[in-house]
Amino acid sequence: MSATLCKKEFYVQKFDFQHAGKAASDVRKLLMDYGYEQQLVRRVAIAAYEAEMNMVIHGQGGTLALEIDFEYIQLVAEDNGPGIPNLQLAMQEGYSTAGDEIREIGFGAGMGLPNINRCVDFLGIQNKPQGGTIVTMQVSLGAEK
Amino acid sequence: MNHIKLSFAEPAWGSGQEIAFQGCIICDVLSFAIATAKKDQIWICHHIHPNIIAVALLKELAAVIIVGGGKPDPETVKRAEEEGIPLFVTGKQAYDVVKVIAAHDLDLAEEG
Repeated sequence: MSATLCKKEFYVQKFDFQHAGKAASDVRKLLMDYGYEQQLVRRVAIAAYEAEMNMVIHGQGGTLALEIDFEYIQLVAEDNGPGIPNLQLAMQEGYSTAGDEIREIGFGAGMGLPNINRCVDFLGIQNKPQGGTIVTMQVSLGAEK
Repeated sequence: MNHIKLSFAEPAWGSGQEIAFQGCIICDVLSFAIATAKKDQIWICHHIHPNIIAVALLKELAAVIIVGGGKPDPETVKRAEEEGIPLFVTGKQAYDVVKVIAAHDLDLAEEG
């Protein structure tokens, strides 16, 4: 049986590097308050952070939705960007479309999606027909990665 | 756990506390730090923006040292203090900072 224990949505602004990371930090604190194990919290928080940064850098902002179920913790990042034209390339470590200005401040290394993939048990990426990307990430409760 | 008092660097907030640490990471690529940094490491970087605190928090790092003379954004200092992440600033270069840290790293001494 599946039932939602918690649902929360965070708004992410494009190119707002001053507040970028806030949503992931809030997700981390919320999971810690719920008493989840440290390693599990770290995995979800890293996935949340990388998804948040993708929305800041590439996605023209968007929303990050957290849902806690009995079986898994789910994050859905839905952005307003141009979508990801080549998913295979985007999953490749080191591939990035970020410009020099973004790279200068330490982002755009092409490790965001691979980092997410390492942390989650399920990763789904969907380009919306009208533009924008939906990234769905799930971490199973009770399973170790 | 190893201990060091970072007297060669200025604390960005609070007073020069002693740091308990295990190892060190030198890196300016944030996602690489996320992928490879280990809990309780000291992170040496050149970035001054608040996102370094988000990364330090995610990876439960012992401290962040901004080397090369960069001054952290006020928001970076504010967030470090809020989150209790020790943040230090120094004009020294990364290599010189690492030499001091390595001298306090007993794990390295054991490795020979």
